[in-house]
Amino acid sequence: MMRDKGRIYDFSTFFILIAIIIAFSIFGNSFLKAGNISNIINQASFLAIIGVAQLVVILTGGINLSIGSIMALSTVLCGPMMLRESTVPVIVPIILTLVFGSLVGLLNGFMVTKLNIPAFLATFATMYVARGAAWLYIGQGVYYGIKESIRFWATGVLFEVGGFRVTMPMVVVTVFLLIIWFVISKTNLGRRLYFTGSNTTAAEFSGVPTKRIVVIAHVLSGLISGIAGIMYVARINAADANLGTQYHFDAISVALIGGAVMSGGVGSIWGVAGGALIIAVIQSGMNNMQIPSEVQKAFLGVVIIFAVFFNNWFQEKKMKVGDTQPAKTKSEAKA
Amino acid sequence: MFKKITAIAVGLTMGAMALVGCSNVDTATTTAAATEAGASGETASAQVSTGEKYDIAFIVKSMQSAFFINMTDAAEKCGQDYADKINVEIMAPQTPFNIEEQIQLVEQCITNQVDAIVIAPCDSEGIVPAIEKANAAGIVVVTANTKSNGGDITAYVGVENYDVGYSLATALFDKLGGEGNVILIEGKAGNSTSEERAEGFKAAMENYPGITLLSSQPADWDRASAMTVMENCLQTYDDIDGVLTLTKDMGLGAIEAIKAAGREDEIVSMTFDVDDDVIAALEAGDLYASGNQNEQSQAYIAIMTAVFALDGYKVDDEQILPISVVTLEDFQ
Amino acid sequence: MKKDSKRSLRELIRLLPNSTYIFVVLFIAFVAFIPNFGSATNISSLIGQAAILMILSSAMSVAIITGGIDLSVGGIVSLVGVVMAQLVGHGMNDVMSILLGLAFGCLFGLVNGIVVVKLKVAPFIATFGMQGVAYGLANTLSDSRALYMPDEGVPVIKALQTNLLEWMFPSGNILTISVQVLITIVTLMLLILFFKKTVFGTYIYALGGNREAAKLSNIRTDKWNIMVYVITGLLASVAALLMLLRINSAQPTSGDGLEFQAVVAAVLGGNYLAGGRGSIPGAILGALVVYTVRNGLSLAGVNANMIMVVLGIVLVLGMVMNEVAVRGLSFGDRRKK
Repeated sequence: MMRDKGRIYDFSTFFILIAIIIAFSIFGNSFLKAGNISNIINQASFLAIIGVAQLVVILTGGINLSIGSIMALSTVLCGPMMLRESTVPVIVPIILTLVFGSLVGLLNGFMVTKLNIPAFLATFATMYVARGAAWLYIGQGVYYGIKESIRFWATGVLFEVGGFRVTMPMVVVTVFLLIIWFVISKTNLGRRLYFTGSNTTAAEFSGVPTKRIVVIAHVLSGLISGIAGIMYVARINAADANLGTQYHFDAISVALIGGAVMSGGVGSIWGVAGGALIIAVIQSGMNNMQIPSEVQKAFLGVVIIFAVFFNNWFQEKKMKVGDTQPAKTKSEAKA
Repeated sequence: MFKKITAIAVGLTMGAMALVGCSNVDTATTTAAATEAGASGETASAQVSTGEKYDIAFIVKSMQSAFFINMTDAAEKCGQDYADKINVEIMAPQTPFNIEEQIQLVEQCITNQVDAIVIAPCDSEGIVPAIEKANAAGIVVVTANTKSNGGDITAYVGVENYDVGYSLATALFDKLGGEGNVILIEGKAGNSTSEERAEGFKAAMENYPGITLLSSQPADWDRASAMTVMENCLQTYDDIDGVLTLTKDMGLGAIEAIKAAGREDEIVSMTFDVDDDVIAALEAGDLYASGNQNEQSQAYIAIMTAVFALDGYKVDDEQILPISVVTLEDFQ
Repeated sequence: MKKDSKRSLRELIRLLPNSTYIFVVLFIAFVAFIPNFGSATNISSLIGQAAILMILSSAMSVAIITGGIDLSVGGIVSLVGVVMAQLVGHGMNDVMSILLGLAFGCLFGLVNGIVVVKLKVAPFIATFGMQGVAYGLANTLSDSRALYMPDEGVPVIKALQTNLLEWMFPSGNILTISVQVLITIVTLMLLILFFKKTVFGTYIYALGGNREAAKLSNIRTDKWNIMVYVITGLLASVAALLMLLRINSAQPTSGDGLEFQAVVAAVLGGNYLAGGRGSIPGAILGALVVYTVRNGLSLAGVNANMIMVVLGIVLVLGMVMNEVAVRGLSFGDRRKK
């Protein structure tokens, strides 16, 4: 049942995506050029990573406002090692960034489970602390000029087919999404993530260590933020304490448009991928139509509300046709 | 009862911690002041309560921007160079470029009864009420880098942002031979510095009828945003001849987008402000030119101007520093 | 008699929100250790600085008590400010402009309410989306430019920017009470009275406590729930007016991030994100705590980035304290059973 719900949501995300693409193809010129599509998918790849970082926490019924700050702090701490001049092997800063990201995630998880602080506030505090710490550490300026071997992951172009460029980020993110998809839909851990989010009490009664699951979700979110941090640093060729000041908004938007539900238990990796594509299409399409970027934000707001409304509406229809029992209790009963 | 005790205990810890946060700075400045007072004790006859040292507050727009940190570094340097005469305190809003928080800082300077405020206002109009308050409290106000549209300003030290836009645009259009399609990447929407530079840019366009402005968009003074904006422009327009970004962070972001698209040979890129990264980009041939406004001098001169004014000298109320357009040749 | 008064005092202390303790302790510590913090000049400016957040956090607390949230308040501050400034700029009488601006804020809140109640979109998502709409509209209406107040023809706005009272102390300190502070106090008093003296307060707690039960006891939950967002919209518009007066202009970005600060202040003041518990005075004190920390540390010359770190830590500690208090409460409940 729960899986069906997820499918419906994926479907509606897909539907919105198609609708938007059709609209832009009609009103914008040369929107459907291969080069442009390649560009959109490339930009969506980056959004998808931060969307997934948000999703894993939302699945447990939480939220992570500190994604952008974690990206900045973890990469700034490793910035000097990522520079071209540095003689440290590439793998060291990459691993360290992921470790730092996970540690901040662990801190979030600790505050949420041990100190019983709602995730919204705990991660808000982290957002402040991590950003401030990043600036205190870097003191001045940015670390500019990142090693080519790191940059390749975010800027490399593998080959070109009729104007469509297959870039490294597309490959990286596809592999990444497959791995995360496997983890959250095929493993025991994944099932527990969903279960904890859809009904914590029931999960606890059936022996799921819900607190530990929440901590794991936050660590995972921190780790993925670290990955996102490296990808963005590689993209802009600099480690910068200002990185991602607005990414918590983007991450929430991606997850919500992708069909995640704030109360937890619902949401899928492919929904997030669709959400990222929708945002990238809107940005590129509205640019193409010469619509100022501020209007894009308004449009995105409407799309979020519409997407969620659409999901709910679909859900109700489905429930009227099928069983009358709410989906959540059904899935609990199954587990 | 338990509730209250815990509450008070936590409150106290917080208070203590907050004080730990400030005690470092506090003791640092007070000890410095104490040794200072001991050293120059014999000359302490000129003024009464505040001592012979001037307290000068130096307020920038953000502590999260390399440009403004260059300014604060220069301000600190100035404070050290004239340690027997002035005490420079550096402030910035926590939310970068937030005018409301900057007004709060001015109010705090009034509370602390500083002798002079040297400020780079986040918004030329928004700062006016705060400056009027400072004037009423008898504080000397000098603006650096960005003007204030009102209040009693002793002096302005900086460049004309309109001229920045104008001269950079002119240099770019000349390089293009007066013909071509250009893109302008602005700072933050609604920010007066960005607006004035963009106005200068548009004024320069009128002298060059062959130039077409394809797109003019804000990128929030941010590298990653500029990169996304530039990528979208590169997709939309097949024929771009020149790009001007209004600061170097955005400039370096735009260059990355252009290089990623492999169009660096057809597009002339220009930006504003100079540092090591910009020089590296000039050397690599990614940038054609940049403008230099020498923000360190602005900070240093502005503070010295405040000191002269406090000493009773007459100061020039508008000290416009020249802007130079620099290309690779200037560094060889 | 004596016993009675003692009990009522104890009762009063019990009713005080937790943020009172943090506020009092912090305040005393800062007065003791930070020079000039306790001066009349600084207290005047501290209250003026906190005014906008006090109004926003009490608005947020109304939404939070019902188990909802309003993330669009920051957007409304920007948008309504721009609307007011545009009306003035087009030559409209300033009183009318302000009133229309407030009405516009209510309307925006009404839309929020309808999306939440009628379209059944969760408050977090609905107001998150509407916030994007508000920022977009604010930028579009202002063409992304700062809108400045004209120097003439706006007598009321000029009057609202003046000081009501200035009291010069012999030490040179000046205690000022500005009209803006007066507006804040009156607004907050009206809100608290509205809460205490009408059914609104009771219904709101009922909405947050047990909505089904509220429905069964004939409370028109839909109507009141929409009303909540209209009120948050109105209060955010008052905050927009204060912002306009304070920065003497309307900027399409002036409300950026205020919604998060409002949530933080409300929760520091003992409002419980799940709903059903909390108070408006608590939220007001929460806002004061935030500004006491900022103002105090800034006066002491602490680096702006360090203040960010300290604020985050203060938030966590405050939350821990609230949690301790809530647990104490639930033990009590259990004992009663």
